[in-house]
Amino acid sequence: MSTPTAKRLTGHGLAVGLPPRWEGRIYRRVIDAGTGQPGRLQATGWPGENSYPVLHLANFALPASRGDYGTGAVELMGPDHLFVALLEFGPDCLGSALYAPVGIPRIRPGQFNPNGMQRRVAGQAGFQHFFTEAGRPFCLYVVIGSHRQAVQLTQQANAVLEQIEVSP
Amino acid sequence: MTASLAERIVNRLAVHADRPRTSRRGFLGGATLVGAALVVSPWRYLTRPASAYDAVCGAHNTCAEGYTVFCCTINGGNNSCPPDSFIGGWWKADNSSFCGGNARYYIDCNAYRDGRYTCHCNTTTCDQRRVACNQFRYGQCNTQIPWSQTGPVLCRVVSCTPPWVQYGGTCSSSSATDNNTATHSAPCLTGKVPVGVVEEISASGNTVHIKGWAYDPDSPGTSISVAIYQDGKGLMGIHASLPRSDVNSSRHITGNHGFEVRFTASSGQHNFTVFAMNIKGGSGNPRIGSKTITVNAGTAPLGHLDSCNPVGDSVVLTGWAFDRDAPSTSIAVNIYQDNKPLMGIHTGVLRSDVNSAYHISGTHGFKVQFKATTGAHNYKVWAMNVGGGTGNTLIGNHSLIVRGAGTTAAPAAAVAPAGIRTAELTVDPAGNAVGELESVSAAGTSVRLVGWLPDTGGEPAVAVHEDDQVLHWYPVPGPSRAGRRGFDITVPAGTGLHTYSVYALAPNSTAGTDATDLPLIGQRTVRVNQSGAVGVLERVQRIGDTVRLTGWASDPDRPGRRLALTVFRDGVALSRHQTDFSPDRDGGFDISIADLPGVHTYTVYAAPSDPGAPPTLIGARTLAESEDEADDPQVVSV
Repeated sequence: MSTPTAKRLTGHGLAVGLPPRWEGRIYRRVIDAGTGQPGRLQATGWPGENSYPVLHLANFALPASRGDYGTGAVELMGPDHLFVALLEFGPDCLGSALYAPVGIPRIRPGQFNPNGMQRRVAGQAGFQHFFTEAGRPFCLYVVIGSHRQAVQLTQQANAVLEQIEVSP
Repeated sequence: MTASLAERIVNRLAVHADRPRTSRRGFLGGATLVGAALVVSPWRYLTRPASAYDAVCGAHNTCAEGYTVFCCTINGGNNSCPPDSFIGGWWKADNSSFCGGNARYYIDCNAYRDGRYTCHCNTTTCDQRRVACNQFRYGQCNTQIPWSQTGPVLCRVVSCTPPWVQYGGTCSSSSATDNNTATHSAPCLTGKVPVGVVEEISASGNTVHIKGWAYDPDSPGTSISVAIYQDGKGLMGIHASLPRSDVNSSRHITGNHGFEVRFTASSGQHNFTVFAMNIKGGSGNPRIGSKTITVNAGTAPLGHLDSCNPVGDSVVLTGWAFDRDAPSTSIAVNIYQDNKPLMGIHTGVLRSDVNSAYHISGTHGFKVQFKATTGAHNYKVWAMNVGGGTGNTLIGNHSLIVRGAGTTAAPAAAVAPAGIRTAELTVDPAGNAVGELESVSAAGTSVRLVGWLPDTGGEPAVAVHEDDQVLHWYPVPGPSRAGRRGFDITVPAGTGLHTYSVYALAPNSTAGTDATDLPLIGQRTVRVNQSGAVGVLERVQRIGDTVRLTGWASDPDRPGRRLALTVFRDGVALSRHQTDFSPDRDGGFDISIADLPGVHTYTVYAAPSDPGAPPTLIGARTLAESEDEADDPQVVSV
């Protein structure tokens, strides 16, 4: 019996080897700010607004409509599910106190918090960490489907975090 | 993001999972909110099976649904961060009906991690979302506050104005999106946003003028503030509290709602945007006007190369230059020799005549002496632009022959000072004369230009430029005398100072009248049709240790009246004199003053007959060090 080959997802200077039964997306939203002139719609942002790459990973099927921090997806999670969001921010964040930690973190089970979520969903728990990797500022946000299974799910989370590569 | 089959299946499931759920409290109290629901979200209220509460407060309005409350719900109706909280980040929902189809921005107010606020559910309105519960941060604002000091999201501010504009310097423009929150709202957000008009955004020089009016329909008798942004960054907030009876009359409101402000901005293109600041309900502070204007479009520098003399094995350049955009500032002057950069200097010599003529202050003269190899050289002198305007100004283009150490200056190659200019003989690099502008004189509203071109066969012409603009070209038919064809041209002129440049057009030339490749044979600045004295500095001679200045000056409005004269040497007042109206002098002057060694510029001013009027520049002349008893050409009055 052969070992399943990990799928590799790359884009926008990000890469990740996906474990079996995981899926992921790397995207960067298009901002159609129009001309910025009065009377013209800025339907998806204003002139000057900058989008940066976002990486979503999940061990369940990701819906198409997701917030950058996973709303629309986390509501669908079962107790065994994991959702990982990695958001990049602009270079003006570099060197700030919030983004001072360096490197993609590894998570301890005790760091998951039922209130540590953008939108609290009963039973779930979240973990958030701001850091800089390869000269790029990021926020890592991880949601586990069941706080009671934090130990097991943390292992899975760290395993997939191990696969993330950031290019300068 | 393209939906896969799995995603489409999941989406179908998500519709059911995310079905609107209304609380019992909301259902029982909903009747009172039907009117508000119709106002806030009529299409949603009339077409979807939702309660009035649901329509007013949008989806996920219960505490159990896990989202955070709006700030206006818990902050006395104010759509702003409560005390002891900070803006931690933001996201947007696209295509929002709350913002006229534009993106709608949600700004998280985070508590500090100090226990000041405790987690609870709001119960005062249908916005029963969580207060200070979710330990989460979006991450674009106040990034100087580390995660270790970041407490839970206390509440959310909502706005149609992007946070990096509304909170310039606090938030970055790194975008984050969550369209799942698009319908979230609260009763305190259902008011109207302010309205207003920016009637003027203009600039005069470096002064920007912004004017308009604004008020909040939720409190139409109260003056509100407007925020002015320059290039996307907050500049100032002012009160719209000036009386505007026209606005009150047309809008049927009371109070004072006008605003007008003048302030200084740096030169260049700037965008100015004005936002009306909300004081009651409604989400956001709408942009009521925006315009990109050029502040102080500026002008190119002015200046003149007054003298360009070979002195032995050296060349002496004198002149002046300044930039009207920074009239008291010394500017750089770049010198090119034979079309190659030679040196850069700064003006730094006082030129009272220039200051007087242009009503400016500062030291705008320059004088530089440098070694040059024997032979013909061309010198181009550029005044370097500062402030507004584009480009640098060519203030002198002169050719001369350096004859080496032990020789004296060639008087014919001397360039006279601006304002009053002596005749000038221009030579080509081989030392051949290409023409001479002998005089430029103003009479009434006309200016007369007299000079000659060498007769090389055929019919040459001259191109006349006024203030660097092509005026016309004129044939120089002759007759030819002693190898020269004279020209005597009269052109109409407007009142004020004008600089005339005359360029030679060779016979059968196919060149245009653009000055780029034409030899300049003379340049003069004259004052046209302005009251005050007129006169001529006819001759400046060095006789031993004395310099003798002769000429005449008179006020046409007061003929026969003596005029006070002041002589300047290198811009410094030296002595005072009077014109002589004895029968044989007729306003003449004959002044002798002690000379000093070196190259000096002598300038004569006539005092005005009317107190307060500026003195009149009668003439100026630069004497080279060895220019004893030089046979000075005619000097032209202004």
